[in-house]
Amino acid sequence: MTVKSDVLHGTLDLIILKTLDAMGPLHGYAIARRIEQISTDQLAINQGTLYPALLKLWHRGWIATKWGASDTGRRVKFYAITRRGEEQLRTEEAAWQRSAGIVTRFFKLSKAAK
Amino acid sequence: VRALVRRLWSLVQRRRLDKELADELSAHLEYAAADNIAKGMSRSEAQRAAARRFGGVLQTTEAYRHARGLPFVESLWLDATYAVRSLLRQPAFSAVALVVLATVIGLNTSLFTLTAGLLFRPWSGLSSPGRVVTIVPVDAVGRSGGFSIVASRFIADRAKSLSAVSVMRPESVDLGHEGARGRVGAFLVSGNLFDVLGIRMARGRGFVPDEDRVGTPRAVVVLGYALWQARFGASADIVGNTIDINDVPFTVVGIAPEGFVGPEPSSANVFFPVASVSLLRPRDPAVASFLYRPDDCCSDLVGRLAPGATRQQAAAELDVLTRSFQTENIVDPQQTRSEGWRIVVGGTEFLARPGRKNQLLVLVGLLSAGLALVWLLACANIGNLQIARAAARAREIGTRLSLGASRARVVRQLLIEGLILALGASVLGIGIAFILPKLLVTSLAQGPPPFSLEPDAVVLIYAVMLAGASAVAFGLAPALHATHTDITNALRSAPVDLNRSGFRLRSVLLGAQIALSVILLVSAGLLVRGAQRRASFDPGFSTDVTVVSFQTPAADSRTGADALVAHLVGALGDSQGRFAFAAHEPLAMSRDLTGVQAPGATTRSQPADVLAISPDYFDVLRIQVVAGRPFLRQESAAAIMINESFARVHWPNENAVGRTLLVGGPQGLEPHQVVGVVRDTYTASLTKIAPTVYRMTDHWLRAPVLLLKAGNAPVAAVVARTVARFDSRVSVQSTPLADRLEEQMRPFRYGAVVATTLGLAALALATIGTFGVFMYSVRQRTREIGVRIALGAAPSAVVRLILTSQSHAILGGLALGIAGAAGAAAVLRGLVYGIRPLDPVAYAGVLAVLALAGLAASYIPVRHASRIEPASALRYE
Repeated sequence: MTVKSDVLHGTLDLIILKTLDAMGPLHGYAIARRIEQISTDQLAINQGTLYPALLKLWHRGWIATKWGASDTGRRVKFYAITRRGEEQLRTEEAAWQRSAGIVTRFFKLSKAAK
Repeated sequence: VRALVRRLWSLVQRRRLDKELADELSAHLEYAAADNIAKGMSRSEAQRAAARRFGGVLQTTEAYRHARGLPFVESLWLDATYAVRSLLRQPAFSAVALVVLATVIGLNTSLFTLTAGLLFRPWSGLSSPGRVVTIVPVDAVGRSGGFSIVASRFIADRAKSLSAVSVMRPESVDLGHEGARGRVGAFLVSGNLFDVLGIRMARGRGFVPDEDRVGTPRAVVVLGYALWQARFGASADIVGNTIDINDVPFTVVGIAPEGFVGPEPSSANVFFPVASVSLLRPRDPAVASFLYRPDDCCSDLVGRLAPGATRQQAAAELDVLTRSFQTENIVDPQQTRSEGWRIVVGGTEFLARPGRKNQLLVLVGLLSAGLALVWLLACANIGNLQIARAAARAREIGTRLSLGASRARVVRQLLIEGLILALGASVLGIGIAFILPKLLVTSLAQGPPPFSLEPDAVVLIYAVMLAGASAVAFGLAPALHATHTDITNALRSAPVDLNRSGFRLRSVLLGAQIALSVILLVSAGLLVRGAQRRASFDPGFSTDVTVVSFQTPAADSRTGADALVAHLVGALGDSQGRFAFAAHEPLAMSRDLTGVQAPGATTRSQPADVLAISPDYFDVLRIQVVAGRPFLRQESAAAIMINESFARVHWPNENAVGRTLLVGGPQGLEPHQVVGVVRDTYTASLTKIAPTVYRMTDHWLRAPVLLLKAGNAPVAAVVARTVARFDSRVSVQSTPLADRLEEQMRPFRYGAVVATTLGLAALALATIGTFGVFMYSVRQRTREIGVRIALGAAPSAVVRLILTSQSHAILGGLALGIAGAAGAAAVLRGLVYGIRPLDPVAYAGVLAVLALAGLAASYIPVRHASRIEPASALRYE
């Protein structure tokens, strides 16, 4: 059994936005599957926690929702990223890269010191 | 903001969104299961795995809901709907509580509206009312006076702190002509009054300065709104037309706006320029004094503060101005006011006028105290019912607690129930406050008051706060108590434990109720007894008399009045004590004040009531002469009689007969001789006996009233015929004096009725409360009583058991109540005339009533207890 790391605190929003940005409109299950696939099942999200997170993003106007038929013909709710969501994603992504870069530099530093 | 809007929207859409979420989640699970099947699992295994992967559907839904709406508002809303359902489940309790609370809140809010009107609301219709002031001189002992017209002009010309000053002087006039003639209240006002007050006329215009020039009077009039409605059918054509006033045609120039009635409650008002008084009273010598003498008295002044000026500045300036006016104009130092007076500049609020405060405020204070007690009582009572209800709901509450609801959450739920009840009641109560104050004021006073009686925002806030306070007062203790239960006990089907703490709380509430209702009942009893004593009291004169009053076309015609009297005397023959004339009818509240002084006295002359009468006056009214002799037929003009009070004031412990007294007349103070002293009577008003001087006259300033001994129908007919022959324009009106007396007693009766109503309401509440407590105690102990009876206890022992269970509360409540009532009685005695604080009849009556009510309240529960069947009681669970 693989040890699954917890979802990094506060990054679920970012992950969802990035997923929608990359894949276009998806329904809830597809988003969950996509996240699991990309993280190669190492990110354990309780799939249910996805929905409150989606709601929060909708409240902020970063994603839009629309009911439609899935490929199997079932009525499902599709989520898509909005223009504001894309802007938000870019700012967050930049901020993430920056802080990840800083942390990485620190790790390198400690190696050199040895 | 977007988030807030979306959250609010989702509150409204709750049901639809819940369904959507359920759809979405089930779709998710279906997909997951389908994927698992594709991986080769069996159907049921696939579903289980999908669910495991998902986490708890319920938890997700809960978390989702939490994130979706505004959880606090939402749960509040849920509590509220739950509270409404729970109240509807117990319609009897809810209805009783609602009615009781609505009545109590309605009464309190009505009184608040009335008090706010009296204290804080200026005359209706003013523009920037805060700048309009009344100007009143007040003497050292707090009596208010007024200004002469000359002084008012002096002040108006010089005062810098006031941009304008106007006179308002009450007057009464005859309106209309033959047949449709009636006396109405009037005000003589300066030409600028309506500008000073900033009043927008309903029709036409106010006066212009040119219409108020002394010496060149103009016959113009402004009608009050209510009078215009009632007498002229609100016809717009009346403006510009003439109407007859004191038989002189006056042109109507305008209609005052609705609500503006001047400083006193009145429904019939007209306004005249001051100068036109010489047209209204062409032959009255007093007019010249009114218009020209600097020492004339008693016109009210109103003014508008100059921009930037304060009331204090105005008062200081007017003080100086008035003093310099007096030194300039008044030669006779005896005529100047006593030292120590000052000018008070106040607003137009009804109670802002000096000297008006005391009586009304006392009444308002008493009523507030009474109503506050009734409010407390009602809350205690509903609280008591709540506890009984909580006992019945113990299982429901226990269930909620055991399912994990926090105690605070359940208390909140219970408080919200109370709040909803109280808010519903306060809506009804506000409805009452829209109707009751107006009804009360218009029925007690002569017409609508000068201020508005509409409940305003402040009143609404008061009502809502009162509702909140009520909810806490009757709800908090029961709620805390109800949630303080042992869950396991509550869930068992029988209320096994006696719930001692709750029982004690109920006993305390019962005691408080009894104490409060004793206080209210004793107060009411004392007031009722006071009113009874008044009702049966002896006014000091015979009311077996018919009063005939005459309205002559020119009310001030001296020759007319004298000729009329001469005609009547000629037709009626020798009086022989059958009839008499007097300047004023008894109990009419009108009086002539004249300065009097004992010779050699160093103080200035003092005002006293002087009544002009014909010699048979005391015979007709059966007023006893206690010293000296009555007036003779032929009497010297210097002879006067006085009443006992007057004698006491001026010659304490001495014989007054034969003394000399200086009485003010047309030529100043003139010496008179006291020939006799009569008993004190309440002829002027029922509230107090004024020191009075009686003067005999056969020269009447205006038509006197004729007092006829009753049972003299032929004489009354003779009077009517004689007057018709004398002058067909004179109208005659006769009223039995007993009716007048009855009319004057009415306020005292109203007071007693109000007090009794309050007391009875308190009694009803206490009875309901007592009944509730006993019933509850019997229910709680049904099993115990069953066991006792089964073991052979006699029914009387059971009765004793139930009665003694509450004896501490009842006795304690009675003791506290009697102590409180004694205190209240002492307070009442200081405030209301004629109350005996230790009136045994009142106390005994109250105790008897209470005992009866107590018996009635405990009868059913006790009977119920003594008839408990042991077998069924043991099966009760």
